[in-house]
Amino acid sequence: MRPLTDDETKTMFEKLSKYIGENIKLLVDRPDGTYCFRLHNDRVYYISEKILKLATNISRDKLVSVGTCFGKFTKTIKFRLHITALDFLAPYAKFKVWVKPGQEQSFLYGNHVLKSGLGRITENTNQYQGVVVYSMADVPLGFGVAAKSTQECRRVDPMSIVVFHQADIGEFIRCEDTLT
Amino acid sequence: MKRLYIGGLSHTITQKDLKDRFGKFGDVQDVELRTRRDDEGVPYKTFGYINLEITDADFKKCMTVLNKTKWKGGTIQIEQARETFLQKLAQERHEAAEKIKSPIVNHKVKLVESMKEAGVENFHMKAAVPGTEIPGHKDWVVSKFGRVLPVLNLKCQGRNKFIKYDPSKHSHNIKKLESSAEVPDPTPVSQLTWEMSGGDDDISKKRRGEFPPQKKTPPAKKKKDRTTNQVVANGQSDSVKSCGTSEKGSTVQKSNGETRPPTKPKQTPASKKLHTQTSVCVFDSGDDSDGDIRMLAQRSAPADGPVVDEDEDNLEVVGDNYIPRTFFTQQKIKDVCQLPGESSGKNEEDYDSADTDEILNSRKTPSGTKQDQLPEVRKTQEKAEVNKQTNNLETDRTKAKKANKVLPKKAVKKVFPIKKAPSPESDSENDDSEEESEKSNSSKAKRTYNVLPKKKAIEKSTTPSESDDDSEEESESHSSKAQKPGKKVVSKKKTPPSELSSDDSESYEDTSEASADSEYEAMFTNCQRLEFSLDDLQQLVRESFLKGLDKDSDDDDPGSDSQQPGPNRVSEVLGIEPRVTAAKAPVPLAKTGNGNTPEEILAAIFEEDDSDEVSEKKKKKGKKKTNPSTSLPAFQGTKVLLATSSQSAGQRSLKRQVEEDGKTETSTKKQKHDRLGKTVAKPSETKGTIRPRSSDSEDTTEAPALKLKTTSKAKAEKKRVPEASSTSSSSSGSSSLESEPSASRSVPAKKTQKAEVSKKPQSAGAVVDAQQQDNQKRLAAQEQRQKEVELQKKLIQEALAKLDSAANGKHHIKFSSDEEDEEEQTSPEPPNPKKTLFQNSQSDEEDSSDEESSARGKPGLKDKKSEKLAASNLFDDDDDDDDDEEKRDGDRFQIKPQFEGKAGAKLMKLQSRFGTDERFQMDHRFIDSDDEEPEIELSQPEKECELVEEKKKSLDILNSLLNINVKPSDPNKPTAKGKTFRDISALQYDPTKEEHVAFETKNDKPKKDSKLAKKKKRKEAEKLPEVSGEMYYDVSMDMKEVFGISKEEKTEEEEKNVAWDKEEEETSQPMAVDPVMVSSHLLTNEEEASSGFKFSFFGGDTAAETNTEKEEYRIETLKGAKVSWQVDPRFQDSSDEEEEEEEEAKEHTDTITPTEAPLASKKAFFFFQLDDERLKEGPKAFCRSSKLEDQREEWEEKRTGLIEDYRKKHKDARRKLRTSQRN
Repeated sequence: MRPLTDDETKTMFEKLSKYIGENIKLLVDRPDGTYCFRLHNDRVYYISEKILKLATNISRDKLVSVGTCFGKFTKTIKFRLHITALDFLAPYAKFKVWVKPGQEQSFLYGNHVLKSGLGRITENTNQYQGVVVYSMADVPLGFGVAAKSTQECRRVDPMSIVVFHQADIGEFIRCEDTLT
Repeated sequence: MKRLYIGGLSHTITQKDLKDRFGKFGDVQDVELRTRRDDEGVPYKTFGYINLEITDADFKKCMTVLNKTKWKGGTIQIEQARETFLQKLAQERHEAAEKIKSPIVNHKVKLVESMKEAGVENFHMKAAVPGTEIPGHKDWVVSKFGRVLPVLNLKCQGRNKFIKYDPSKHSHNIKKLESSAEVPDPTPVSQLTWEMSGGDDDISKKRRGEFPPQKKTPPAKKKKDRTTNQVVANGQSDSVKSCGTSEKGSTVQKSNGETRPPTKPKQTPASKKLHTQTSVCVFDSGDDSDGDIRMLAQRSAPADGPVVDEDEDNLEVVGDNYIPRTFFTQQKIKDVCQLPGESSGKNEEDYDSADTDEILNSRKTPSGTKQDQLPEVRKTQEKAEVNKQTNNLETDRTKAKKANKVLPKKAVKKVFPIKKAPSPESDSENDDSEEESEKSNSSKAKRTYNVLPKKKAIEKSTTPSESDDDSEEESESHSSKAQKPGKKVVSKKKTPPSELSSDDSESYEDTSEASADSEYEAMFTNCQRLEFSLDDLQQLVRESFLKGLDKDSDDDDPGSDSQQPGPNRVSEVLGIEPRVTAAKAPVPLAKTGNGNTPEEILAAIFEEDDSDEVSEKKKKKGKKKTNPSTSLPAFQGTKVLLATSSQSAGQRSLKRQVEEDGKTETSTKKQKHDRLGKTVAKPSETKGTIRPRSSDSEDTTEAPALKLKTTSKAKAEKKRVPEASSTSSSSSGSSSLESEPSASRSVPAKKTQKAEVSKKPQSAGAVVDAQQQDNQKRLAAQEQRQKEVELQKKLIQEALAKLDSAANGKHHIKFSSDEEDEEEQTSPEPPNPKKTLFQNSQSDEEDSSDEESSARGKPGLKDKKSEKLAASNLFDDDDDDDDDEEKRDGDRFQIKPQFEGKAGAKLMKLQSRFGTDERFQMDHRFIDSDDEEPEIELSQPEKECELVEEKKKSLDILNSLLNINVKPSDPNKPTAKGKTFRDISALQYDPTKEEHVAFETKNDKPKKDSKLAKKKKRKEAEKLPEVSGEMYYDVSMDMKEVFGISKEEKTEEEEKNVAWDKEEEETSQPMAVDPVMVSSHLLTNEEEASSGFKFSFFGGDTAAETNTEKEEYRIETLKGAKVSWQVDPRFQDSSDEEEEEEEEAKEHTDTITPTEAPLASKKAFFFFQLDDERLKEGPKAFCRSSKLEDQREEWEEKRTGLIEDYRKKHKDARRKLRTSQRN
């Protein structure tokens, strides 16, 4: 477990900024305590300083997970967000997509969001903008990437993809063994 | 006259010439010459017309002579010409005149008249073949229906052909027209029928869409009952199977024939309902087995529906009480089931007969069973329906005899008379009978009776009746098992589901309430002989107790008549065996010894053929019954004592046993069905008899009922036990339950061998030894249970008695716990509480008797139990103590709450100084609260340094990424309020928390602050104005520059020095949050404000304050977006704004330009207030500021000017155009 290098931090922040923009600052600089990002097994954990101290008591090979896993660095040193980061993405998300009840399940099974299932979308969403997907009851379901801008979404036919699926809370069950 | 045309004349010819010329041939009347002339008057053609009176011959001659002859230079051409129009006209006029002159003829009238002449009236010609022409009228033809129609000549479309349409050839198209008279006057629309007034019948109602509410039809109930019965029957068959007796095969087969699936085990759990169902089921099963729909219809049709309803209702009520009974009831049920199964196994016919028989049996159990058996025997012997009927009668008689003999018998007898007077009486009885169940029972019994006589096969009825009896027995057993008070209820409950159960209840109730039937009375009359007083019963009970004790010792003695109590089972079994043997012997004996008891007498009187066996049985029963009269108390004794055997009770028990024996005998004789039914019925009868007598004292009756139940159970058990003990004798007797079926198998094969059966049972018993052993085990277990239950009951009673006697100081406290312990110990006996309840509910007499019996029979047990209880209590107390000690020990090692944590450790240290002295125990109050904070603060900074650096790094990266100014909040400085991370969704206002003061609307502070602030602000306001004027202009100038510069500066500054930005942010953000702070800050730093663009906004001038407000607003919005978790600045700023407003107002008064103040105020409020200036200004916008005339004048002036201007411009434009064109 070690702090992130600058490059790693940069790649991770770039990724995060797609979803929460400058609100990353609120994650890094939290008034209620000191939080930091730590790399462990190629995974980035967002840890409270208190827990960090506690975790030092555990050897690296035995440590499975600390704090909240935000994602992992792939072999190509790109950062991939995990669904576990949703708790921190959802409150700060700048662009949101609400999914109709009928397609909640479809999304939670790992499918993209189609226009037919699109209940609401933040205006001025650009194409390929990271978005957090909510149910119509404002329950965060996951996140993805907008396949179409808000304007395009209006014209598009019902079966076209509006949001590319990246992660959904269904993974807590589907990928139980890989999520940490 | 002909008119001739003459052409080709020369111009010179004159009319005279023509006249002369044609005069030769005829008389020329008129000559007309015409000459066609050219324009120039030159004639070129001349011709003429001549009217000649000429004959045709002359005309021909004329034609030949003159035609085409040359005359005066022209060739004459003669042709016949058309008449002159004048002539035509004249003719027409003439004709018209003639027409006018001639009278007008009505063709239709003519036609009608002419037709009439031809025999046609109203265009109808009767008796005319279609197609015949009407004489005198060719165009008229007779068509269909004798109608005269015209023949039409129709012209084809587009052709000149005419088609003749003969109506007679197309007459099939004609429809007969109704005469106008027949057609009713057309009804007006208003009077048309809009609704069909349908009848009240179902179909018409359904057409109208009215569907009657679905009612539970009695047949459905019947079906249910049947199903339940079937289920029960199944259960019974199962139980029989479970018994593992050799009879299983037969029973199974029979049960199969009866369509009884195995479901008895269910009955046991679902005690009450099942019991009731079982009883009903048995009844139905009998019907099913018979396959006689008639039977069913007859039986069920009259009273089933209502009865069933009543039964059902009762069942529901009972349900609660039954729960505890389950075990015993189950066993009993099993026994009963076995019995019916055996009976069913014996003969299906028996089932059929069982219906009536069952009822009889249920009521008269022993007698009925005997009777049933007898009829069966008779059937085997005589097979004649008459015999069967006689058998029924005999059974009735026997029943009556039995009733005479014993009070229960009386009840049975009553039932029998009811049966004799079947349906009507039963109905009447039902009506009369207060209790519905009784009614239903009686009605059922009556039905069964009715059915029996109607149906030759008494046996069939007997089987169902047996089943009924079984059910009754079950119910009784249940009731008995269940607490005494519950008995009635139970019986009722049982009754509702199953008529049979109802029969039982009826038997009870009937006896108790005494159905108003004359038959009943007759029964009583018969019974009077045997009537016993309560005292007698009590005495009997006591005796029975004594006997029971004796029996306990003498269990093995089958011969001993008294074997009712706990040993009852064994004793009963034993008794049954001897009885059976005796019954076998007695049968002949009974014949001889009819006179012994009234029953015998009655039997002797009633039945001759069957009477032999039946009478014997009856006699036996009667004897027994006579005993049973005493037996009622004996039953109590049995219940109470169980183990005790009293001589009198023994007699009673003998009676019971005899009944049972008789049942067994009868079963052996008739068939096992009968036996079972009888056995069941007998107990039921005995119960019933007891109960009816109990009507005198319900408690006593209930107690006997319980006893009976116990006895019934005990019977089975005893039978089994005796089998073990006295295999041979018991084998016959033991067959009672299980061996009986086997015997029944053998018996059905040998119907006539009834007596033999009793003898044979031994062999059967040998065969069934294994089963018997099992049964014995069961019985033993049951006995143990019963004993335990009894013990518990006794204990409870004692406890209650002691409670009453208030003097139990010693064990008083421990007592309740003792009971519980005992109950727990006796856990296998759930019914105990019920029994206790039952006993409690029982009348004082019963209690007294029970207590007495208990006291007599089992004082030792009571003592032991009491001792045990006491011991257990003590033991429990010890346990409690131990537990407490353990707890204390555990407590010793638990860290006390005040010593937990660091503070606790300190406390420990403190207290350690004082040792364990209680006076100096340390409390949390002794902890120094100050100590904790510094430590924590000390530990943090070092580690955080690294983290802070890291944070800075990451933020730098962020900045580079996002091109945003992000500065890490200084950990040491209290961060801005808005930055605290709060979960808004979870945020709840807590008045105790200081933080939440922000959410409170401050009413007081602003005032207090305002005083101070006002002073300050006044001073400030006084000071500021001078500067403000300059600053204002400077600011305005700076604003533009600043915006341009600020970006540049920012970029530059960011590149150069990040820290500078951060500082700026710090300052700017708090400013945004607290405008007051900002303003004050600005005010204090006027010079800075002038120099820096930030401060230029807040120039501190009054005029500049408007700008500050704007500035603040802008900043806030930005912040709100950025810092989501920040406390909404509006809460904090509200008071400040007010202050500012106030300041502004004061400032206005002081110096500043008046125009700005209203602007500020306008901006301040979005909503209108009463004194709002906008309200004053607004209306002015809609009013004229000047008069119309003035406006006109003005306008006109302007107009002239405008016109001039226009013209000028026009001229100029033209000039320009011209110049341009020139150019």
